[in-house]
Amino acid sequence: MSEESTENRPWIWRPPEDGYVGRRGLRPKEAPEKVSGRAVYTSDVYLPGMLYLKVLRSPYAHARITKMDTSKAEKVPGVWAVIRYDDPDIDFTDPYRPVIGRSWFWYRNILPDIADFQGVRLGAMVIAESEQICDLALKLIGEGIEWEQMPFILDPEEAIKPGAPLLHPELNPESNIFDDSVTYKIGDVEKGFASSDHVVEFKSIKIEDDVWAGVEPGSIVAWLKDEEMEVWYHGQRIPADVNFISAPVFKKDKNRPKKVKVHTPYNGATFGGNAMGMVAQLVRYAVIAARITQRPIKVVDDYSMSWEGTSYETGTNRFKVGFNSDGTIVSIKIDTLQIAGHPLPSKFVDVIKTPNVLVHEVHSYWSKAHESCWKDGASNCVLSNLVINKVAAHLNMDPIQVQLINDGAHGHDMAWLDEHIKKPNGMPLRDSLKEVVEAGKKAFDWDKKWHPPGTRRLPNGRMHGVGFYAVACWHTGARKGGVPGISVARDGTATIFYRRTDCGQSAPSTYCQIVADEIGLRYEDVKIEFKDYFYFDAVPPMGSMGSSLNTYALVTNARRMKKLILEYAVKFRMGATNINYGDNVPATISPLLGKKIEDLDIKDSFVFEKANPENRIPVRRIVSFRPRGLESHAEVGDFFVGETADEPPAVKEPYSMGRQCVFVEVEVDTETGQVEVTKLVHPYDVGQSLNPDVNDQQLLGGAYAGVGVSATETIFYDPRTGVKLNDNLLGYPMLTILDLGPVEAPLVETHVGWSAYGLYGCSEAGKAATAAAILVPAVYNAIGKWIEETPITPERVLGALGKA
Amino acid sequence: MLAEKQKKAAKSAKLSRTRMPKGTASAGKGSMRNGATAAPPVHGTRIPSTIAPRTVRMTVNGRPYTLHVEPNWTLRDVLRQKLGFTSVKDFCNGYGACGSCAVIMDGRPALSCMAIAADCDGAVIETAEGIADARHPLIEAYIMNWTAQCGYCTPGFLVTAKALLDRIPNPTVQDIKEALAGNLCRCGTYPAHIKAIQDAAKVLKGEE
Amino acid sequence: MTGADNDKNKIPEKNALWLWRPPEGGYIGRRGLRPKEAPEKVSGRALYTNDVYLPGMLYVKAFHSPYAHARIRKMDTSKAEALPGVWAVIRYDDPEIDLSDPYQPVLGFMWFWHQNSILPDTADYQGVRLGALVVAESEQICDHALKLIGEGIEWEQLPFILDPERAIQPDAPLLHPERNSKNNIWKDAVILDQGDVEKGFASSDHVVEFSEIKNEDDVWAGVEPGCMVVQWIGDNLEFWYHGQRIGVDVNFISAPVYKKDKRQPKKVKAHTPFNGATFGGNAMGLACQLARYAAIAARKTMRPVKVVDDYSMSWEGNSFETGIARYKVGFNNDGTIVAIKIDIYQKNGLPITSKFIDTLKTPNVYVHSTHTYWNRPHESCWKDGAANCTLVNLVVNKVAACLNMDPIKVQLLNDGAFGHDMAWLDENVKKPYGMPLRDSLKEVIEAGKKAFDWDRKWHAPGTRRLPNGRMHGAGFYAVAGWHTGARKGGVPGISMARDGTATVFYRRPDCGQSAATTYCQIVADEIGLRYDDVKIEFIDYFYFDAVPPAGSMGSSFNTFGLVVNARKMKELLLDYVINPPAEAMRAYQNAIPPALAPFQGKTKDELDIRDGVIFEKAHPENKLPVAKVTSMQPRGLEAAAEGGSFFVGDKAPELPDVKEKYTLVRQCVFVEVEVDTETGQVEVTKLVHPYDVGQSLNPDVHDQQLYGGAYPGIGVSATEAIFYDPRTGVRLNDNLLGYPILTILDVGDIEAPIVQTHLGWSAYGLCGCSEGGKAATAAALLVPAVYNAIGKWIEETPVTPERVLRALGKA
Repeated sequence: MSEESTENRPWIWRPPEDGYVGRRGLRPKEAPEKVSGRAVYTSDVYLPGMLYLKVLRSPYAHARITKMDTSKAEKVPGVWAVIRYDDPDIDFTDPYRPVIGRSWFWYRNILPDIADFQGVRLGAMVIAESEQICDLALKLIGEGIEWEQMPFILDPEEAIKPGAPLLHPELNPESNIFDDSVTYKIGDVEKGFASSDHVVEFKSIKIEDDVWAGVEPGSIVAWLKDEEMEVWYHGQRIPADVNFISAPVFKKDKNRPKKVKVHTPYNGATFGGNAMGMVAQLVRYAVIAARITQRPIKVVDDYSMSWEGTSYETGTNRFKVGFNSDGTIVSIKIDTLQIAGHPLPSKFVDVIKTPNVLVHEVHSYWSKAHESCWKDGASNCVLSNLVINKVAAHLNMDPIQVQLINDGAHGHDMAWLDEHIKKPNGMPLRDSLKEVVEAGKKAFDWDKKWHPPGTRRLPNGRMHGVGFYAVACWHTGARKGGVPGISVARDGTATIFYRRTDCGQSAPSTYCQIVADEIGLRYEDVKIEFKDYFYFDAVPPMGSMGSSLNTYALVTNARRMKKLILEYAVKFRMGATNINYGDNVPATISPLLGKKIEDLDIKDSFVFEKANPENRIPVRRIVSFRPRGLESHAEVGDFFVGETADEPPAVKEPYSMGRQCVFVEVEVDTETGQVEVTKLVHPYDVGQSLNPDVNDQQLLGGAYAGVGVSATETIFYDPRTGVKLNDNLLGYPMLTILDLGPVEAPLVETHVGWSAYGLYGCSEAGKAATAAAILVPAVYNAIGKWIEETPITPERVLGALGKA
Repeated sequence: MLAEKQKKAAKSAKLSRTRMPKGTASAGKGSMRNGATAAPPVHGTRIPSTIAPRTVRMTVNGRPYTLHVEPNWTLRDVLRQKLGFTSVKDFCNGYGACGSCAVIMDGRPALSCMAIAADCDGAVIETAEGIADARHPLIEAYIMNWTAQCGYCTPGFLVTAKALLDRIPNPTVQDIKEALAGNLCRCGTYPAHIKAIQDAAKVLKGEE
Repeated sequence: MTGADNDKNKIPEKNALWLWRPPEGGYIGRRGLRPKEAPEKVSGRALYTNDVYLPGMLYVKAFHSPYAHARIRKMDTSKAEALPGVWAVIRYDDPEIDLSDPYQPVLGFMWFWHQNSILPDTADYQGVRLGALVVAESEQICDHALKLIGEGIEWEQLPFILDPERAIQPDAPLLHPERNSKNNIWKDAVILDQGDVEKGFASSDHVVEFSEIKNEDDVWAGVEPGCMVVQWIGDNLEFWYHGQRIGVDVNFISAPVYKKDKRQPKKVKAHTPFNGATFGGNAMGLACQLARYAAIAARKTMRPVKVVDDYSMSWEGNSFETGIARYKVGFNNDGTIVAIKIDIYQKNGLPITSKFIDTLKTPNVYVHSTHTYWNRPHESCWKDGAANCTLVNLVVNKVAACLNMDPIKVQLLNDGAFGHDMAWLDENVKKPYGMPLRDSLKEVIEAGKKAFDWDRKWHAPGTRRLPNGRMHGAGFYAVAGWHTGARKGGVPGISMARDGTATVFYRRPDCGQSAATTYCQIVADEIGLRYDDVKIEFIDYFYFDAVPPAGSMGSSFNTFGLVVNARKMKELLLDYVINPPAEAMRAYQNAIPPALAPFQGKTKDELDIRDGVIFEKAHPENKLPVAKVTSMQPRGLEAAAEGGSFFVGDKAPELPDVKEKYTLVRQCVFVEVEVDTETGQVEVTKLVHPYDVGQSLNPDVHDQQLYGGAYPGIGVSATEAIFYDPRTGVRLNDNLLGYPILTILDVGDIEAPIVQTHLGWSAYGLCGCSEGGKAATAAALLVPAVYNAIGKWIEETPVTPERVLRALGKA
């Protein structure tokens, strides 16, 4: 294709041949400090004279504070302040418009007097010289509270029954429903059902929460240095949470910090969830305390924050599906009842050509923790998973055939997408689903393993089953992203400036690979510098969308830097040359003087003439040609690029063209109901892989968490008190190294992604493909029974087998 | 080591030549409790003590603290390293000659490098941070009069100025000069302090 | 700029930055602004390197020599190593550690005498670091261990020399035979040779010879102790740097520590906290020496290490002025100076003629300087224009004295540069480069005379006794302003946040010139924002080419880059309004956001920005706050990407090459003294220092900088001197009890009238003033004033009471 056509169509770009992008075995940039334990996380930050802050938590699922006596706590030595919910001076209102995830924001007060689930922060916060003193003071406060207890509801079906006690009359005096809407509608489902050969109705139920279960405690450090509020931030979403940092603390005195400085140390397993308000809440506590005490404050939330959560999957779905005998799905209607606030259909409609679809969502209040999604493509994927497999079950077909027949997006089939999207946008006409299925079948040996339901008993007496399904890849489309600054120092090494937060996707490595390739430097010669300050528009490698957002700007600025270096190589700058050589630079310094830029290239940190490559000089020598001596004060900035990239062209229908699928093999013990996952294969079309080692890691991250969620992970509530019974790692069984058979994640690269290089992110999707319902089809294939309730615990298997 | 001895002799001889501030010098000594006097910690002579730490109670910027301190710790060490009040600076290397470590102790300016922490049991201490957090008019006056160039000695000046205004709400230029005579500044900000203190005095009197 | 019009062909207007002017009615040049960095400094919360404490941090201290010249024969460190809390003792003879100097000096310097080692076995002055480093858990333990080491050393004492003239006598003992086996001279050069001085003398009406002798050192005397903090994190090295020249010193910190294991940090992360009075001096080797100690200790222990030098570092110094200068000057009866010959005997290495030659039209000049070894500390210059200025000062005033003329007349008569007179400079420099045809010297003198009341105060030497019995004297002299010329400088990044505030990214170190404030003024004016809406963010990282506001040349370097990028940002904003990008329209179904409708079809020239509001010049009521525009950057999930539409940070364009880059701006000093002829006491009752900054960025800052020149300057010229024990070579008063730097009591009125002729070579035609401040108040400052008071010319400085009495024949 012509230059200008690629110029502004980043998805058509490709990384240079045999560069570092896509290569295995590179040394991860951030690993050494992580491995040695010297990497600093927010909870590792200690400042001179630092104080600690902790917040009271409700012992009840639904109750109001009628009286609170904090005098005892205030007297405890080492307590600096007790801040009460009814403080007349402090502004506790939520200064923040939520971006995603509505339900945390039920009440716009960060220190309320009402608990709407057991464990919620409310009433009072204590600032003291040690965590222990905080705990003691909180205990005393707890003893001094008079509670008005109120009825609570743990079951969504109960919550929407007429006459159910109102959980948030202040928000909705009629019912417990806070959102009731059709979130997706194409075609006419009723007509569709009428014209279908078959219509089937079924449910999926997930009442219990799965949670992300912690790792680094919720912690924020704030220090008001007179007019600058300096914050060490543990979380993902500074751009949103910075509003909490800069908002005024007092009702009367509205003064804001003149400047905000935010550090983002490493994060101990931050997933999407704590982007959803709880971090903002902690930030707000820290900022209030910092303003009041004028001392460095560390908010310590133990790790309870990560135990609050109902993932987006929690709730019930009622499916009605119309399809023909060949497996074509004609019409789909879904009624979903949820606590979480996230609309579901995005992945779902990206992966099915079905012309008639209607998704109706009801979101209601219950007395359980607010959502804390983590790796949350999941919920979207369940839908297609169950629909496809249910249809296949009915027709006794191989689910793969059903998936292939119905592949498409937003009601369009693949042929249409080829014509109207891939062709006009210059994308390769490859069929991502076919390729991932191919790769997966091979690695999994599907054709040998699949069999009609309930038909294969193994020598060990267990029933053997396999499951499959596919879903679209996570993508953010072609976006400009922020500004990764790139600087080349005198020693010829390049430094990329970009924001953290680091969420473990090893962005420091992949970003260096991209810049190394695009400039032509050795990977070792490229480094990452974290610019923690919020106003610097570098892009954080956020979990769901790091590489898909940032690659474009990284490539753009790296190419600009390459141009700079080449210009310099052919004509040394006055500012540099006059220092040592006047204006005539000897050829020994640059044999490339006077050449044309087009005739040169850079590789392995050498600039060379394409025509005769032995005519070359190290980049180091070129960039070191800057003023020395007093002038070096100025570090004359010839080699910094950091300006905004051009907006890539707007694509009308940026449907997700990439596909991933999951093959899972289980053995079911029909005596005990135990389900063992013996193999999991997760072929994934990343469009273009930046670093296969990183892909593997991300997909493992999905597999372990996903299988956990679908088999064992559940939070139990005491039905009489609404108290969480197992919000700790003794009671909540996340998977260990023992719990999963071999996991494989074959990479597919079709370059049909919308980001630069045609890539897709894979970290979000990892979990997406291993959502709670993943075991349903596999277990069905094993025992011939369809289980509607997840996770698939032994009890439920036995129940399905009529044994319990 | 002849030279060493002579050097020491020279130094101790110079002690009589000290140009200590009227305010700080006397208060510096007066602040030594129980009649104890603190020798300036001279390079190479401070040794880690084998005596057990002592417990002292002091109030800093309105907060009571109970601290275990080594007998050889100065008040400056404790304020900086234990309590994190970095406004208490070290310019003259503990000779009590520069006023950069000045604090207000029991209402009078004192040199924290000349006070042994163990001797400060019961002391009520105010540092620049405390004065800033109390929004004392001196702060804005110091900011707007450009009293800080490198800023290192500025908190010491501020503390001394606060003590002056506590004592003399309406100081003359001469009062100010005498009070600040023990605070050394290498950036030459002296004239700015005079203006700043006069401005603050006006605000305190409600004239502005 | 008629001049510019004439010569468009010669200089592209857009690059002739000295012709730029700040916008009318902006913040630049305004008084009473709130300094950005003052609040943290005043409250003491501003962080200096010495305030950095890291968990598990260790301390490293170096041994200091008790002798002026001696070699370590044997050193027993076992006692020190056995001391509880000591982690390591690093010896000069350690076989594994690479103690060589990893660094090629940039400014040629004395400190590099023992380039072979940063931890030598030979002392060449008392107090030099040598022999051993101790790494321990507290400073006290370090001190204790160093004491034990000192007791365990066998010394071989060597002869020492404290006096420059003694050093060059043929029979003088060799101080650095390893470098020069014949004599103690390490540099002997003619540094300036213009015209023909001998012919000049022959054709002069008069020839006079005299000397200036400054044997004692003046030093910068500390403030923040010498310190660095260094720690290894994984493959990377992180450090907190106290000093000015991180760009150079980073080499010391990142060089391999072991001879065998050449491991270097994969990445260096540098923090530059505030600096407690760092002057040029600790850029000259001492800081990097400390940095190297810390790096070695950190590598050896793999713990965070703070090197603490107490504050002795700042007591090592002899300023560039220390030494002896012998003058021979030929001049005519009208005061015209025809020929100047100067022989200099100095220790340090900086050529000291730049200001001198930039201030006089004298056609025949010859300067010969000899630099020798002596057993006194290596130079540690601080505010060091000084040395240059002394020459002009003494030459002009000596001539005036001989002819009984008003020195101002002599100065005006001889004003010029590189042998050219002002008329020539007008024709061949100011006009072709479009500069205003103003006479800087005349203007600063005008301003100074008025403020000082010179015409009433000046009188014939030794003729005015005051009622209080003292003799009254007035002194004057002038010198060129400090300038770095038009330089491109680095890259100040500028970012606009969604709330419409701008953040300027630039490097520290901060040296107290309040760059944080002036840079915000420039950016506010050039974009059209409110000063309160512009902030500074420090990019401490070395590899980011933001420009440090280094002492001598901050604003003169950086204003250009700031203006260029601020103007780029303004363009971005106007473009965004005129052609909104997709990201701005996404929220409006890809239609033009209503708020921008009024600006469609307009051109950038039709719009402007003021006080944070974009408006149409023709119809000012047609306006929109900048914050409205910046808030159109993507929100929601896209906010993760921060839109990134408003960041500029690319390098500034090239500058025209200016051949005749002479300094055209002038400063002068008027000083009034009272001399007590009984005690010899000299009191400075008034000092007026008019300074032509070309264009003032912030007059409040200007005042501060010139106070900063006056106090140390008068100190150096009147009281500040380090004394040595002639028998041992030991410094007797290297502490603030013994070394009297001036207090608030010690100087009368100081005034610093600002003159703005726009004759500087930097953007806006400005010229820095912080270095210049001290320049005008050098050691010889008081000589003319005291001469005017008592009618005696004193050749030895500082002008102490003893010397005054001796001049009066009373001692």
